[in-house]
Amino acid sequence: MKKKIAGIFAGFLALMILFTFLSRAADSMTVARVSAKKTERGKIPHQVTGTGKVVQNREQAVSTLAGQTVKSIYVEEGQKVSEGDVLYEIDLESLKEQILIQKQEMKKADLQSQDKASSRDAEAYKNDLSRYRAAEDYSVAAGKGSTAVERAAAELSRARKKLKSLNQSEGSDAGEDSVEKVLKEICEQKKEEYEEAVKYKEELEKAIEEVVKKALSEAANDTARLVAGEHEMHMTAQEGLTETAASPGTSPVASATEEPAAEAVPQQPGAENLAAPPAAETPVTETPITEAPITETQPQTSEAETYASEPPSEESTVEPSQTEPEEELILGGAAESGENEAVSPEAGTGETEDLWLLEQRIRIENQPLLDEADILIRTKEQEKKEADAALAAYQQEKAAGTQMSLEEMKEQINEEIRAKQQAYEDAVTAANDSLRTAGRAVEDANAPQGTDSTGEIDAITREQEELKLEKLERLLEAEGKVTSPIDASVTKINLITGEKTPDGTAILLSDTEAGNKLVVQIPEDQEKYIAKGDEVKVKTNSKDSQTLEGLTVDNVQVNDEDQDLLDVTVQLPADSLEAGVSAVMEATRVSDTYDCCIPIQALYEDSGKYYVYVIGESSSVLGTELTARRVDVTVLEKNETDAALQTGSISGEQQVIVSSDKALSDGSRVRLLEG
Amino acid sequence: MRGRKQWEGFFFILPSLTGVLVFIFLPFLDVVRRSFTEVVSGKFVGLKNFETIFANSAFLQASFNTIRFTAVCIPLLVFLSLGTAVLLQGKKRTGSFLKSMFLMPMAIPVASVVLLWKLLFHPKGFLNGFLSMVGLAAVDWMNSEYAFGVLVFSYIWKNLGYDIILWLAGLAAISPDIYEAARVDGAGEWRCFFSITLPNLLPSLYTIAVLSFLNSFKVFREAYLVAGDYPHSSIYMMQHLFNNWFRELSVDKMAAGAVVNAGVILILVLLLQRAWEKV
Amino acid sequence: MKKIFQMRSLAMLLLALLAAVCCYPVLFLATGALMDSQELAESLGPVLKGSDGFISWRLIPMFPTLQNYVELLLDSPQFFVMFWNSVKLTGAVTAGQLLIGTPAAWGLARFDFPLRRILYILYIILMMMPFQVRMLSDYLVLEKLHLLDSHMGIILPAVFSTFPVFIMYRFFSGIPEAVIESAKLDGAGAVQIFLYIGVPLGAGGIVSSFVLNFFEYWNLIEQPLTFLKNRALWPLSLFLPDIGLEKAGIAFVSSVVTLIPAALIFLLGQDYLEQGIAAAAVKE
Repeated sequence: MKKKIAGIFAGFLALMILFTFLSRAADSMTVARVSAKKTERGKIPHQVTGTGKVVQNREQAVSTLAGQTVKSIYVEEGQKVSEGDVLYEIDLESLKEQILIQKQEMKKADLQSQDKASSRDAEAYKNDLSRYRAAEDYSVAAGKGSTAVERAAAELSRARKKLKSLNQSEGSDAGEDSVEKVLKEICEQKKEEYEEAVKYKEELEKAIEEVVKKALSEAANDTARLVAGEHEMHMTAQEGLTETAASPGTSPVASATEEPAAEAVPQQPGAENLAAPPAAETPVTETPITEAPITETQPQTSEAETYASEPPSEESTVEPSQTEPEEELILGGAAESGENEAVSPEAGTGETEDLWLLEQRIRIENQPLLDEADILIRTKEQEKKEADAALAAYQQEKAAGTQMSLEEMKEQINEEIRAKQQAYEDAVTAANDSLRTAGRAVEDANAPQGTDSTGEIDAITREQEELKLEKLERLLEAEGKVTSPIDASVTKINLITGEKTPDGTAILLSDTEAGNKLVVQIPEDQEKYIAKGDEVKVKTNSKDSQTLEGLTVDNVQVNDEDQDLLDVTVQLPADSLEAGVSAVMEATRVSDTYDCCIPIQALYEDSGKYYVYVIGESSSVLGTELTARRVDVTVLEKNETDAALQTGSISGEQQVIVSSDKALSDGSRVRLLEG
Repeated sequence: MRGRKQWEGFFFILPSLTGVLVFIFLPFLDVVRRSFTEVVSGKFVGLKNFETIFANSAFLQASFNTIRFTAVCIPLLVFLSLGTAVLLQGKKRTGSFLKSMFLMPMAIPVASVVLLWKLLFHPKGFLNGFLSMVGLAAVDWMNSEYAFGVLVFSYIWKNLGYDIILWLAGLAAISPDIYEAARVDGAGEWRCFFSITLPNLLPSLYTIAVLSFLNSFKVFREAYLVAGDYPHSSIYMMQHLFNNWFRELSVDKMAAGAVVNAGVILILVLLLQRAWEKV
Repeated sequence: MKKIFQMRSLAMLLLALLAAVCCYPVLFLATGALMDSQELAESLGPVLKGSDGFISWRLIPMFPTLQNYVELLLDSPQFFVMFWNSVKLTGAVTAGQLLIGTPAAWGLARFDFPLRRILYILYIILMMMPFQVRMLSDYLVLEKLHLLDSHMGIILPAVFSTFPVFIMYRFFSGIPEAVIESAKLDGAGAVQIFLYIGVPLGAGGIVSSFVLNFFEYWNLIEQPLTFLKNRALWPLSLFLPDIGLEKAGIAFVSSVVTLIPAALIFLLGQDYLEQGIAAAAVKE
């Protein structure tokens, strides 16, 4: 019994030993067997490999004008030719014929273009003429319209003034006296002005006489300096005159203009009155365009201008209908009297014909000034008369007692104003209408005409034709022989004896001296590992594979057909590989030295994060065990075999797990295999 | 005869004695010295460490628990085992079989029964299941005063066999002739028990009581394995306290505590020794 | 007399019940170890998952299986580390105790020399000291000898425990003086007498010492708990409570496996065990 129990006890212990081994064995099967390595200092080489074909480095096309007849071909494909060797020959007969045709064609074209040019000139002349006429019409219309408008405006303003002065006289007891007083003052003022104008004219005549005298005496002394002197005198006289004319003429006018204008504007019911000055001004601003061609109308226009500024100064109640024709008469008279005055000195002093001519010329030149002075005198005289008449009429009215009641008078004047207003508006409308019509005529005349480039096109065509002819003649000079421009081998012949030469390349040559190049395709993502200037190795695929080392990358560019590929071009040394051979290019780019390099198998990736497993120790019930510890790392660079990590996460002493026979996770137990 | 060869015996005991001195006795003297000194400086501080531990509520709690446990367990165990021993006495076959069964708990590793204890005294364990079956409310055994009862139970379960053997040995030492003579005189079963058995077992009682007391210290194992380092305060034993002091490295408290414990036990052992000699 | 007989049989029945309670844990562990994980989960549901009700237990598993044994014995090398730790500690301690304690007990029992009495009392006193008293002194020694956190730190103080000496002393004292005298007359030396007369005649004491100490050290908790920080050195007695209830199957099997050596030793040395216990009770 005891022995049995002792046996059981021993059996139990034996069983426990057995199970101990069994469980350890089972456990070790679950433990991953790994090999590990410390990180190393090293470089990461990147190998770029690509396969491609050898192609000619430089090709040259030889061609002649299309349509030539090939007489004979001297070379065949693959043949080596040296510079100057005849490649093929053109039939001379057909060549000459072509030259002749070419020349005739060119002549025909010349004639045609001449015809076109002459008809174009005639057309242009017609257009210019109509444009000029339209402009002329326009300026005339503008002048007439503005004159009519100005007159209507002047009458209107006079009528208003009349009403105003009436209102003033009505306002006070001494009104009648004051009216009379004002009228008298105006009469006196006008008288003074008239006298001044007369005096001015006299001074002017005197000055002219002086100038004439001087000129004559100087002409007598020095006939050679005649022209210059005369010119000078004329200038000084003119200047002096304008200066003297400026003071009596402009100052009273200006002062007179300001006063009534300032009063008239607030009184009037707005828009209608305001419309007047712009309407009168519009043609004035446009006149500069018309001025140049229409010299004849200038005096008239300037007359209108002076008049346009004058109406506000008129205070008399004289009817405008009377003044209008009168003025025209005065104008005509002035011109006549000016002529007379100019003629008289000529008759009295005429000694020699030359001197007389000179004198006459000075007088004629100064005539406008005199005329102006005359017009001024006449105007002033007229004004004086008007003022006097107004005064007389007033006194007459006064003396006759108030024949008409004030109200009636007002009524009458208002009626008058209304009529004037109407007349003014009509004038403005008429002026605008005629202006618009004239303006359209100008626009029509100025309308742009379609560009005509036929002349230039003809010129270009002619140049091309000349070039073609030149080529043909050169070919004729070479007796129809086409030679090789370089030392090369013939790659392709597009000619057939007896046929016409084609439009493009006739014969393709490849430059033997420039050698061949290899173009290989590599994936686009390898771009960073290869660049122009890199050293590469080239191997042929054929059985007797030869290796060329020390070649350099000539160019790297994106493939034309596939954006994901790169074309790498490698220049091959002369006579190394023949065109058409396929070859492999290998390039190795070595990185900087990294402190922490590991084999790529040691690197794991999980959702974009890189990590490695290092050997760690953990103590458990079974003793100190090796475990795999996950360490997140930053990959600086990697290739197919190695990866460089940022230092810091892994120390140089740590063992990085390189391979494992089971999937690892953080903390899983491992068994390190030596070696 | 003995006196002649006295020193030979000393050589037999020498290895053991050396070990005892080196590993037990001398270190204990060092502990006694430490109990009167400060930990860091090693300065003599008199009874200060003792004052400290007697003011320590945990020490007082542990002492109280130990005394209470002893006061409850030892009489219970002693009389239960005595009764069992008397009943088993004289029964040859069933006696020895039952004896083996009672002894079995001694052999069962504490660690093995911890699992059962956990399931037994769990709030949803067997015991509460039984209670609910008879219509009583469930009890959280390990986290209430009941934990003390659990500890008493496990102590008795474990040591009953041991004490039965001790009593049987004591019973066996009583000569059957005395019973013969008494029976001839017409004494009954009870008479025999009270007049012959008990007086003759008196020397054994001291031994059994002291051994039971010493074994009571081992109840810490159950308490620790079931309830851990910080059990319910009713079962917080001296060993718990020492473990916690050890963890804090409170050398001065441990030293004083050890001396106090040793002193109490020494007195008990000397009492046993005297009782032994008296008989 | 009949009445007394009836009372006795009733008492015996009570005793049998009590004995059954004592042995129930063994049965409990044995059945639990044979249950599959499904059945265990169902039985222990209220404890594991907090479901309603109380845990139930079948005395005989519905679906007995060795699944748990396979799992523990084949898939848990950790368990074997603990197991062998326990074997190593218990074996070394008991062997050492016999090697050191037997001569000491012989010396104390059979020789009369000065201080013998004092040493004997000292040994008894030291035997009585619970671990809490020896804890600090053990620690101080082990620290000085750098034996903390090693098996030797557990083994050495245990080897010099005085308890086995006490047990064997009782047995050696019981050897009749005449036997030794006759040996001496035959010219045997002190060592020869010890080896050829003392050990065989005191074998009962040696075995009971072994059995008692085997249970003591197979159960060791306080010392490794205090002095062993490295879990790899722990004995089974510390490992078992660490297995959570969620691994109930493993816990049951481990408990059973832990129980087996103790049970075998118990069966093997029960007589000596009783003798050893009784030795303390009987007067010199």
